[in-house]
Amino acid sequence: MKKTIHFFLNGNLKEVQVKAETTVLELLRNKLELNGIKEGCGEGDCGACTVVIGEVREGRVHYKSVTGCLYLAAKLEGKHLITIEGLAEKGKLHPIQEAILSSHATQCGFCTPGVSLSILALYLERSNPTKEEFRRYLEGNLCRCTGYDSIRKVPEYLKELSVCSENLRPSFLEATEEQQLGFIQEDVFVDDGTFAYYSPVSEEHLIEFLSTHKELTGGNNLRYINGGSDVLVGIKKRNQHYRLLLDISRITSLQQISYQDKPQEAKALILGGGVSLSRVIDSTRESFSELSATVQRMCSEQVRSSATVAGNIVNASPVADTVPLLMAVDAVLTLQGQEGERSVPLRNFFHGYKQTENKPEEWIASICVPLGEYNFINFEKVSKRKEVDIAAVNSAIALKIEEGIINRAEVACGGVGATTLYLPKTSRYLEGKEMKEETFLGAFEVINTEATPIGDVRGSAQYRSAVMQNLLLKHYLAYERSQEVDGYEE
Amino acid sequence: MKNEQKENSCSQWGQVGTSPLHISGFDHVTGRSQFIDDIPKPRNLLQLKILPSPLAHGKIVRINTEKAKALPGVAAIFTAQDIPGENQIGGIIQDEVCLAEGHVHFVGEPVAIVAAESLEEAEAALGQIELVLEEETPVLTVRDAIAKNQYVGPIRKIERGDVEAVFADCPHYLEGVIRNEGQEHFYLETQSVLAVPEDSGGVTLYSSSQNPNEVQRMAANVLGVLQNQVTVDIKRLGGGFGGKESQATAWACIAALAAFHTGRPAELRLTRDEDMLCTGKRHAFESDYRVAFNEEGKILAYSVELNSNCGAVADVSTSVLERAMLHAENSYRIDNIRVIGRPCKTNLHPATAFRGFGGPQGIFAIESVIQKIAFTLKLDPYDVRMRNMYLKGDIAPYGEEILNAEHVGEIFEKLRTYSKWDERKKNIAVFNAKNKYYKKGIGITPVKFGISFTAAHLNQGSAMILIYLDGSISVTHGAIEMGQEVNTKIAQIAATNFGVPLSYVRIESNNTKRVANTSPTAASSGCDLNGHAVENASIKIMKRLRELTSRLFPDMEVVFENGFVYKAAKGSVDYEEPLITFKDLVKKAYFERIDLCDHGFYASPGIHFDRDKGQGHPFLYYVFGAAVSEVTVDLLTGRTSLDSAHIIHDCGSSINPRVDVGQVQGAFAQGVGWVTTEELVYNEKGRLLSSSPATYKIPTIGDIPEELHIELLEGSLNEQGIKRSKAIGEPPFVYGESVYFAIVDALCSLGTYPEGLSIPATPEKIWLEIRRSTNAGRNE
Repeated sequence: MKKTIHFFLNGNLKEVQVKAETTVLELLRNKLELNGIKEGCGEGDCGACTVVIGEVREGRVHYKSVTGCLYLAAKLEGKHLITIEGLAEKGKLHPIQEAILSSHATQCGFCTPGVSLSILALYLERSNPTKEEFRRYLEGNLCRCTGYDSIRKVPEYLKELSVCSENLRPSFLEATEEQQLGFIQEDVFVDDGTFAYYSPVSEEHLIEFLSTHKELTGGNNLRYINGGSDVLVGIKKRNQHYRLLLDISRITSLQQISYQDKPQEAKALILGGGVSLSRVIDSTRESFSELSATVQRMCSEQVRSSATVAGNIVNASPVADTVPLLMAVDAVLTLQGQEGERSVPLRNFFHGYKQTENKPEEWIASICVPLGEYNFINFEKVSKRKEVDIAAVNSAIALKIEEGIINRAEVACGGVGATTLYLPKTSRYLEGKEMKEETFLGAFEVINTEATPIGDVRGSAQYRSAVMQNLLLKHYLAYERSQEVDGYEE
Repeated sequence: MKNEQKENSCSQWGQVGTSPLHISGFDHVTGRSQFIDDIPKPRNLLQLKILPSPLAHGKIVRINTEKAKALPGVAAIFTAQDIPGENQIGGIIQDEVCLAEGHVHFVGEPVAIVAAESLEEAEAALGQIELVLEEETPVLTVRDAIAKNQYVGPIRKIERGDVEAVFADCPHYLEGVIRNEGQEHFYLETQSVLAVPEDSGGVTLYSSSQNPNEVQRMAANVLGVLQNQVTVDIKRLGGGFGGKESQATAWACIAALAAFHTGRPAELRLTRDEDMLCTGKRHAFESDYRVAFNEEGKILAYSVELNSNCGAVADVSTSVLERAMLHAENSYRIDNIRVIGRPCKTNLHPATAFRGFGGPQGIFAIESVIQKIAFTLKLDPYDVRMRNMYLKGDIAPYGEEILNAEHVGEIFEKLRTYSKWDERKKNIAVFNAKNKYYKKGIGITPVKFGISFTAAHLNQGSAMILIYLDGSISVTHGAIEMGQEVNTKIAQIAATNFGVPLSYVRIESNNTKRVANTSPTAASSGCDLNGHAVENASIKIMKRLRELTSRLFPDMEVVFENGFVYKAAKGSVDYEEPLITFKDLVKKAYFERIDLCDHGFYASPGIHFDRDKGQGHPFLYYVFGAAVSEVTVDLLTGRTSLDSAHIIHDCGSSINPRVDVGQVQGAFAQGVGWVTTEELVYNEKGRLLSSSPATYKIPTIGDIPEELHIELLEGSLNEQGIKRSKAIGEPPFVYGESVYFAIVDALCSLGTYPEGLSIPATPEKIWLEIRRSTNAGRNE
């Protein structure tokens, strides 16, 4: 069990001592005196502290952007941390830096290191990114000066520099990747007596630790994290500390995305509890495109790259975006603890505001998402800003439509109660009715009997009520649109 | 060698009119640029935290710091009674304390300062300070302030003609209220300062401020020392936008106080939440208007009462209101006009400068009125605007001739073609007829923006130029670099005037020991005023260098270009044989004992304005432009998407066209944020609830349309501006309003005018208007 953290910093192996709650932002600025990383908000909403992380998964090093303010330093074990200081080599600017200059995409310069590294993460993972992918990777980088047009044009200047993806790899990458692939992962445990962090490499180690460290894991002392983004906001901004942060992100068995596809059995997608949102976007595009699209509308790439669907669920926020969708399709959670595992349907998981079925020492091992039971699934979300914003109201629907009749309907809605609500009355109302606009207008009164929203900074009660109803109609309109698209394809 | 020289001479070497790269670009992209928190930490550094007032209004009953002082790591705790000088930091009107005394007047007002060895220890101590307040009822709205006759300054008026006479007998008349909310600056670098004690009780302040002179004056005032004891040094800001014109002063004074008392360096950096909670924002306005017009939509008389919510203290509010009043007619000739401005005093954080400085609010009122006129008369809003547009030679209500007024109409006509206004309108009508739940709309906003500080004395710039023996040039000037690339432009001016490559020129930090009594970098004036000062300094040095060349190369006409001195004859330059390099010339000058350094000063000519009469010549010249935006509104959610935007902007003869386009893009995006998603939500006690980027939403990359086209007006030469350029920073902010009017246009397709739709037009507010309109339809 390691008590210090070993990681690669711009190609060089480092060993550092950190505290449980130390972030990468704090490590770089306060301890390593690398000031290129900037703090703009301290809660992952501005991207000024974006850095790139290289980590081994399935026999290859993958790169991702994270916000240093929401990424614990202790998580760096075995990883490669690339900062802005690593980009220019031997006094020569990296092509991304040159392109930013040529595109006049830097003004005050405060967001520029973060912007550069988001672009680097993009190009390290995707050789020829589309405009949509560029936006996906950059929407988490706020810039108050440029208005983004010049940033958006950086890829054009990269093309002009006629660099291929290979040239965008910093020279130290290859050697570091080799070392990373040979790196022997061990458990990490740091404890200063006040706050501790433990990161096991297997479920066996985790269970062993739980039975031997009762003093750290009892009661509400313990908090599981994977990305830890939401937990860290609580720690840093609201003083919600835990005696032990138990990081399950290095347990490979939780990293699986698999399919239950045996004859005789219902088809399902099985998402490991540690699968990041970014991976969900990329890997469910075919199998469950609605989930992929939903996740793409959550937070920013820097957060999605470490945050998980399991975390989105277990946080029990009433406006969690994956929850209505997964409730609609009747996903089932596998909760794991020392005593073994148990299955809980997501619809039964929430007991009240921030109250769940999950016991403190249990973690979500996997989420089983039934597939193929519906022929129309849709998610809608209303927020002030299109991207990187929390919903005022969100809503999901799953329908089985046969010959124009809704044979099965499942509706769930968030932001309209203390928890995300599965709406059985509305669902049953829709069943047996024709798939047409009037049917959904007719459901307006029913949904009102099932949910009574309250008002807050993101929307008033009356607005939420109205939107909750209107989103039913938007589900129908999305269906209409999907039919039109099919028409074109024919 | 000769060929190389020739090539260099023909190519761009960073001279005025070209677009060299950002002068700090290398540092920015490599992360080496130092912002306040990146300055290498001095030894013995103290970390500061402030105790902000939790209440919007209250009497201070007791502040007990004893328990907190005893905590480990706490070096000192200061309150108002520890201020050795005057507890007063109001720049224009002396109504602002540095630390609360007797009463608190807004949530976030600094009450006490903790100085500790670490931030953690300072934070721990904050929680142990006992602050007992007796809550008093806060005044939060302009209506309440007006009812209580509570203002931060005098009520002002600008008037021409006789509005009442026209209102008494006119073909058409409308009246109503126009509202806009405030806006958070959201500069990426939060308010920060590092104070380092100096000899004889002095202090050096590294402050993230747009206004080193005010920081120096107020810190000296608070410490009770002479101004020469306080040095302010500012290299760059991580964004300012007006939010650090006066609002950086308090933090600098607080850090100065800590350094003064402890004799140790002290750093204060606000967290994002502290910054958003404590510091001022754009002014919310609530304006009452009356307007008379004829069948064609020509405005016959316009009366507007601009009521601004100034918050708890005056700050720069009186000037902001003045600019709003001076832009109340925007680009329109209105013969009968009455503009009244009331600076309402409330218990919110002091509202302050923000890009546009009241201009956008004044313009928003008249643009709303004209949009309503068009709706009422069922006319194209474009035509109504065009019919009222200023023409050459027209006089503004305050008595100044609008110089080059014809530009705005010219731009308006060009924009009609450039944006395909007519075609878009047709397509929108077709789309709206087909779509029940989505409506499109198009909006257009012209801008006429007066350039100069309305406080005439501020229209001065200064600079100092030093040339070293290797020919390298050091320029200090009075402006602050905050991303607007004033440093790039000023380096271009120096490079052009000395005929050297841009790489010879280094722009220094703004330091009160090298340039004194500078005006804030504000009012879009930084480059104009200080560029002129640099020009004047360089002219003085060049005069001496040219005297030398005339001795060295008698009877020869010479030009300085790209680091060489060439022979010129009848307008053609002999690039083949340079006479001497700039470096060698400088060396010769040194040995001839010629002064290679000089100071430059500039004051804008002819600026005056009589506030009591509301008459004068407040502006040196005007910037013109216009924007067209198209949106789609989702009627079921109130969500808007911005589909396209077209802008034509007049920036004179641009010093750096790429920089100017960047300014237009950035200002437009800020304007879009202001009118759509950026919502300041307060509770009933005057506490800001949307105090972090989790709840306060500035635009992201996805909010800017792919179809964004910006054109700079060709052939515009501005004899008043430095190198015939025009100021750029603020005017394009107003283009964001075209997005608001596009939303209004989309909602008007439902049959009613969205009377209640204030800025920002958030999804919820839009939805409310849709509901109102739908209900109105049902009643019919």
